[in-house]
Amino acid sequence: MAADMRLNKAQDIILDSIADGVFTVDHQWRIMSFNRAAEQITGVARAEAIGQHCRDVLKAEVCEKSCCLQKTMTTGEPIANKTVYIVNAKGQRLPISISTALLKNEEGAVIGAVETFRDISIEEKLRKTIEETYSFEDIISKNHRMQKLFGILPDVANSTSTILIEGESGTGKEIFARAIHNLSPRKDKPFIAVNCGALPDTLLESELFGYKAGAFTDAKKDKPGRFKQADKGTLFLDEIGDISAAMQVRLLRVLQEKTYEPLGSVESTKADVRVIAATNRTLASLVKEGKFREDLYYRINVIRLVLPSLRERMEDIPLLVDYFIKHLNAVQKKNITGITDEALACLMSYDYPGNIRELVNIIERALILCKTGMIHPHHLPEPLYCYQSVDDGRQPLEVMSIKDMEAIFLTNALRRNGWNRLKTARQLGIHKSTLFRKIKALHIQIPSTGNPS
Amino acid sequence: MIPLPTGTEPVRQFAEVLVMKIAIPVCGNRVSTVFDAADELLMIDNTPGVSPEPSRAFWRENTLIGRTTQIRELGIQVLICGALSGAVARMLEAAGVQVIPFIRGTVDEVFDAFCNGKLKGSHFFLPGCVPCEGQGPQRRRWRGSGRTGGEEKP
Repeated sequence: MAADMRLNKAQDIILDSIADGVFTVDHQWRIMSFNRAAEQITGVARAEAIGQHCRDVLKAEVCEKSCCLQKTMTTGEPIANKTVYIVNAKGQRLPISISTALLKNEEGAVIGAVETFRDISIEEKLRKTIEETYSFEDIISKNHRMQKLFGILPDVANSTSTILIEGESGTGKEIFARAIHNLSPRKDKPFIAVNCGALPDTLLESELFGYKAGAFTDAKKDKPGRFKQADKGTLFLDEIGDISAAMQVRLLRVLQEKTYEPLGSVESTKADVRVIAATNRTLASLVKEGKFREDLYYRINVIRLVLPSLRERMEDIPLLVDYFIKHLNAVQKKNITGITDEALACLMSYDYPGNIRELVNIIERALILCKTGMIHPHHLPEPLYCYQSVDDGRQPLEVMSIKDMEAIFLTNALRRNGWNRLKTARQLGIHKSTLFRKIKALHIQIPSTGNPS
Repeated sequence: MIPLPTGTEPVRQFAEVLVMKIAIPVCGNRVSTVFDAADELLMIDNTPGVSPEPSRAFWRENTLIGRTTQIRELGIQVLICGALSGAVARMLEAAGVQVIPFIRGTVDEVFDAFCNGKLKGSHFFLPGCVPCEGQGPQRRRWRGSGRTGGEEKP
């Protein structure tokens, strides 16, 4: 008996030392053993997993209809490195690579099956970065304005209408456009992105519509334009507000007639392309100023999505920081475990004129300077490291409490919203009475000139 | 056939508004362990004063976006389902659908527990997904239950 217990303990130690998740099941698919890596990947504690049906613990899409363990038990054949998706206890959808084999006792009788699995989300992240196949799951936010956008995303993706995405530089307009494309029925066709502001007018024309051989000197052969390349797919026109008046006329014609003529061509070409336009300026103002054609504006502005700046969705910073640390860990092959509360407080006290792009650069810099462990304030750029405290006096970060950090965060949020409490509560995604309670509890002073609402 | 709850009192356990149309993605007669793997959608119209009528709908499309759109088009107010990714839950919640994820069990017992306000019992939750008292994604999902897990008193 004691020898058996010692043996079981030794087996547990061995299983826990394996980096891959491992569990074993009996003939009724009840989990018999569950190692530490399996706990980490699934988010289910060993004590909760033991005795449960493996389907309820692993939560893989394949469990219902094509269970790998069942196949192995039926055929006796092992399965190696099959990629499946699971949903862990935190609600994250993770790709894992699984292998299965029969479990036999000393006499060779089958007593169950064993499944080993490995989290391959890092590989998946790298693949997404290379292929730029972003989905809406890559847009991380709990901000109420972003939530509203998520709510209309299915309808937006399913329609064929032109979309206008407005938002400051660095708010993720292209990622949003790619996510819409990847959700749409056109997802298997090309997504072509063109930065209209980066090209002079003549180049942009040939870039968008292509040219025929002999159209101009050095045009030795036909060149397909971006409209042709994006045939049956999506064309993303970034910085649409920067195009010239002449180019606006040409673009209007394509959007209206769904046809265009490549340079030097006498024949029209049909354009089956969904256009997503984006700008970091407000097109309506450009129309008022006479810098943007009204008819083109109305043609583009069928569905208008306005992405909030990062300072309007500060509650997303912890989520974004966590996401970028994981992502950059994978890209830079580092093992940074997270960020300290002090460093996070510094990040949350900043205004981010460069939006998410700036936040990514800050985290990237921190990962270069931070060799191991957690990101500390001194790994951040100096303007972020030194910050204003509530009473406007600088104080060392080490003496900060959670309450102090919360007070700083709320003060900054209120200041950004002109001390308007209703607006601040809406921006933070909390109830106004919660904000009032916090203001009182944290003794935050609202200036007498501040908007009392 | 689903055993109907006694009486037709309005069901208010999870939603602040009157719950009328409930949907459960199912595999056979069981809540599908993973939302994405469900064969079909079981819908129960629980309008007060009307005998609750269960009906089933096959998925029109096999994509997540297609399923999300279908749920919205069917006018579902509460979705009781198995494991569901946070991104899909966010999309559904943003569209006004109240999501009660990580539920397991047979359709009969789950629906009965929902109607009688007993779905919070830990045995209805998939392992590792029981809403806890502390902060956590599971707790935050109980938005309509009157508990506000996303906020902490100062």
